[in-house]
Amino acid sequence: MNKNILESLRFGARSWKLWILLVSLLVAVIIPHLLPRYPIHLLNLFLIGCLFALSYNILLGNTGLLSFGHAAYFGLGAYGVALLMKKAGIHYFLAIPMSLIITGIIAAIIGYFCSRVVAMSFAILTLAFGELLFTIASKWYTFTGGDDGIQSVYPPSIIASSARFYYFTLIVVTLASITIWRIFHSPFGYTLQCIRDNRPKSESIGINVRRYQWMAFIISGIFAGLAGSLSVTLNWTVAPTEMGWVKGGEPLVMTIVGGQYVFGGPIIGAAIFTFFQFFVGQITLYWALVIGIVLALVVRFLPGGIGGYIQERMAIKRQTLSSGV
Amino acid sequence: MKRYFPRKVSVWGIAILTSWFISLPCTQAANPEPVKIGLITDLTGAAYVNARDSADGAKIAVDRMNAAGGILGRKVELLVRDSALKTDLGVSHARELILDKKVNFMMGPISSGVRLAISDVCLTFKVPLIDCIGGSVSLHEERGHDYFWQISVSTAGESYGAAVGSSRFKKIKTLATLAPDYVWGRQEVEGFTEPFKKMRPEVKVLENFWPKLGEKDYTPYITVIIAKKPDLLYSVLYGGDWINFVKQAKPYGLFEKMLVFCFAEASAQMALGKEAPENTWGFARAPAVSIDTAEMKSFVKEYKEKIGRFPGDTSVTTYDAIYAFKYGAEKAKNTDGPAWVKAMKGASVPTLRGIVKFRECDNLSNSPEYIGPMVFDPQYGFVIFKPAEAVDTLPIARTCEETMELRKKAKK
Amino acid sequence: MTFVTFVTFINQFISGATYGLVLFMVALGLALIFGVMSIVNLAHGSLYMMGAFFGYFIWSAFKDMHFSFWLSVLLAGLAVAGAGLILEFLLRPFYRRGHTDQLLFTYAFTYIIADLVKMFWGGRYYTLPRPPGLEGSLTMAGIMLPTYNLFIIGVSLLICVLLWFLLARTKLGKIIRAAVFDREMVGILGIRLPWLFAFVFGVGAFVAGAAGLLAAPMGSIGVGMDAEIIVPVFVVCIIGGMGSFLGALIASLIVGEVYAFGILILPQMAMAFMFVVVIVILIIRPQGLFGRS
Repeated sequence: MNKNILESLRFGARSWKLWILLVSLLVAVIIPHLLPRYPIHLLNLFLIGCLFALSYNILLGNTGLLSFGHAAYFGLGAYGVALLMKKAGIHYFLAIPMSLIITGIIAAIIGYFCSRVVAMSFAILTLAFGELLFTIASKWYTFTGGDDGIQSVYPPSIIASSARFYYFTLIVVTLASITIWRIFHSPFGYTLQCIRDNRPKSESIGINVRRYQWMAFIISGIFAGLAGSLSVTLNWTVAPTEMGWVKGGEPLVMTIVGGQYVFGGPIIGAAIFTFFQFFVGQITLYWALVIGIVLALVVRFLPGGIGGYIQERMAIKRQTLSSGV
Repeated sequence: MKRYFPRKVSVWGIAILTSWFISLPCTQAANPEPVKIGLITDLTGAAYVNARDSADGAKIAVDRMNAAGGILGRKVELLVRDSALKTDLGVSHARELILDKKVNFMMGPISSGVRLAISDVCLTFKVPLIDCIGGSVSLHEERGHDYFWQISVSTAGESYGAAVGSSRFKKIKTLATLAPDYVWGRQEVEGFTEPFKKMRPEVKVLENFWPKLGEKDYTPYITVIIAKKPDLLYSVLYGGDWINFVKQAKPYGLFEKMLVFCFAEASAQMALGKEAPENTWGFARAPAVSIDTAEMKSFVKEYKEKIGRFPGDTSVTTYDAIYAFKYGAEKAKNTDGPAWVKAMKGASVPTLRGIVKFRECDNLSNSPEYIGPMVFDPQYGFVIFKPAEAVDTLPIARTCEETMELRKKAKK
Repeated sequence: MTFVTFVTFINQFISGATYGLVLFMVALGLALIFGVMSIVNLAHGSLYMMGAFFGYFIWSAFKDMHFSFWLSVLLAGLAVAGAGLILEFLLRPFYRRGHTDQLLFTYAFTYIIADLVKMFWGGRYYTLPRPPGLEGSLTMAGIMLPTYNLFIIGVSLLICVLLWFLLARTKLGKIIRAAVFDREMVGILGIRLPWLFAFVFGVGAFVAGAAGLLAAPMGSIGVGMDAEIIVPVFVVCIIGGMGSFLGALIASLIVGEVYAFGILILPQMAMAFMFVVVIVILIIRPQGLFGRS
């Protein structure tokens, strides 16, 4: 009798995750018809933040590489789309993949140099390249519009309405997230985790660490660029500030607070960060202080982020469940 | 369990904070009654001083207005947001203020780039945006529209004023320019050199210097400027850059060797205090303490009492913008965007700087640019214009036909 | 750019050396902390900024006293050392954790400190005049050299010499060098590591805070100083090799001069030159000039 209860519990435990996914998908689909426009705008920002943070986590959580210059690829994606649409008149849906190719190439070049170093040098090098790209974007005003950036980048009329743009973003981000999930759980992803956990050992068993880090860098950059391409038609504008290291701090905070070792971590982090930024911004001018405190607390007491904490508690519950009887 | 305690506290703390923050907009029920004015400005980042001035000037205006009955008998509410020099934040805040908080009017940030982005949003949702800072000509030219209003001075107008002022010095035979290397700096130099050359064609431009914005080390520029020996140095450096330049140039005696015509926005002057150089001439959009009208004096007094320091240029222009909103709303007897725009077309509005008229085709105001010799005043503790002369800036603006042409081209 | 004469060259050289040596003073603390405690402190630039702000307000309180500036430098340095000790205490749990975690924790502190400074003092630019006696310039061989710049160069080289003396000739210095080499052994030999670490962190913070105030008369004090200084300082430490004092000195001079002469060649990209140097050095020698691989 007890064994049966256990078995059904375990079955239930596995499928509840599926339930959560289905329910949230349902909610996500209905929601634009229930909410006024501004919260939908926030949801779009949240979705783009999710993608940005997930792309960042390919480097951080999965490969163990801390980058301070990730916003550069976000910005490249955004600028690519904006320039292709405004200067070459290319349609948005075609501009996105073209922009991603350009982002990928630049990420490949930069990644080639960055993947040859580790840890702190890697962090500073990514920062250096990020700032370099930022400087180029600001100075080349004949091409990029300089500090003013590029304005009036509107999405095509088919997705121009608030609800439709939201669905478009939802679909793109969901597909991209599934792809990233598949990458995490592929032999490639597991190899990266191997490198993260023990570099010397990985090298000794024949893994070409540099090559894998390089590929992770490129993939991570392309997804960040995708997030940027969505962001430019949401805001109708792009400016060099979206490439700098201040913006680069965003996916970092999202991923760390949400949890770098859990797939859903960056998603939780993106939610917290987006809501904090806007709601805290309404109340006090010192929202950076609040975010700083939250980040410090998380790094100190919750090394796996909130996602990691939740996962731990669930694991403990599962243990006590299965061992108690 | 002890190990989990601080972690539990952290998680719960974050959860509680987050849910509190999310619930807040619900508890603050949107009251349709007050007239809401939104101000998005760059309170984080290099421009925070000017942004602070802008927000404080707005506050004084709103408080005064409410004490006198508000707009059309309704209370005025000021909502301030920080765009931190980032266009994406600016756009998001603009959407929040317009769609969620339903503001009637908007005012823009220090950064021209962010302002351009917000201008787009205001046009889409038909909310009048008054530019109370002054900036890139793109704002009212190719990117201008019915819902964009300029109550300060554009780069063209400002540099024209400086050209008028400096061209009067007959002894000048050569000049050099010094401006931060970005769009605004370039426009200021362009807007200066063209009219100046027309007024004094015999003067030679020796060199244009372009230090980067936020440059820490001006020594290379200083030594080369001195070596080139221009009679006039036109400088557009502002804020921290101007302070750095002054401190580094003084030991070289630069200010004794040439006439420096410089951007004289108040915050840098206040910070420099006694250290500001002598014998310079300045130009500024709204030097509050130097303008000698009764309204301005009362404004300066109240500002100093309530805020604790003297107003900057952006304090004045933001104050003027808010009163312009009131003027239009009362004329139209309505706070709706389209109605306000209709009532304001070609209108003349009272401001702290006198009566200002908006041009009908592009909503550009004839706000003057102020020029004058900078003299130390012990009463204030920093250099002020003694006296401040107002130069009309409209002569340099593009004609209506030219502006409409530019807008048409930009739309393609 | 325009003509580069001998005068310009000398001026640039002095200016570059000044900037580089200010970076050195801050980088020194960072290198010391990293070398002895293996802690990466991204908030070191914030300590520099705090020194400038504290110093300004101390100075304005004592303005009319003789030597008010020097007193302010000392007091500001001590105040920042105090703040540094608090930070060190908070960082204790991170000794064992990786550099990534330390970077993240101290990164959070840059946000916190920057906003606190903004809360108390933000909203204005603050300027500090050069102390009496150092305002003008010296004319050597027809070239005007600002006296204060020469003073800064002198002071940082003095600090350098003092540091060398401390490390090479005193017992405390020996302990520090030993700790850099093998921390655990030093602990086993009976030296109380927590005290040593606190001392080292305090010294590093003191120098950074003092540097903040010392550099202030050449420019302005304002929020944003921390971000402006921390990136070049880290670049200096990476180029020189994390933890190496000699490396920090040489790298800071390199960075300072590259920046100064970069302004002559291509002013808008002067910062970028510094990054190019970092990139090149990291590719050729990933551990930095004097770092341990």
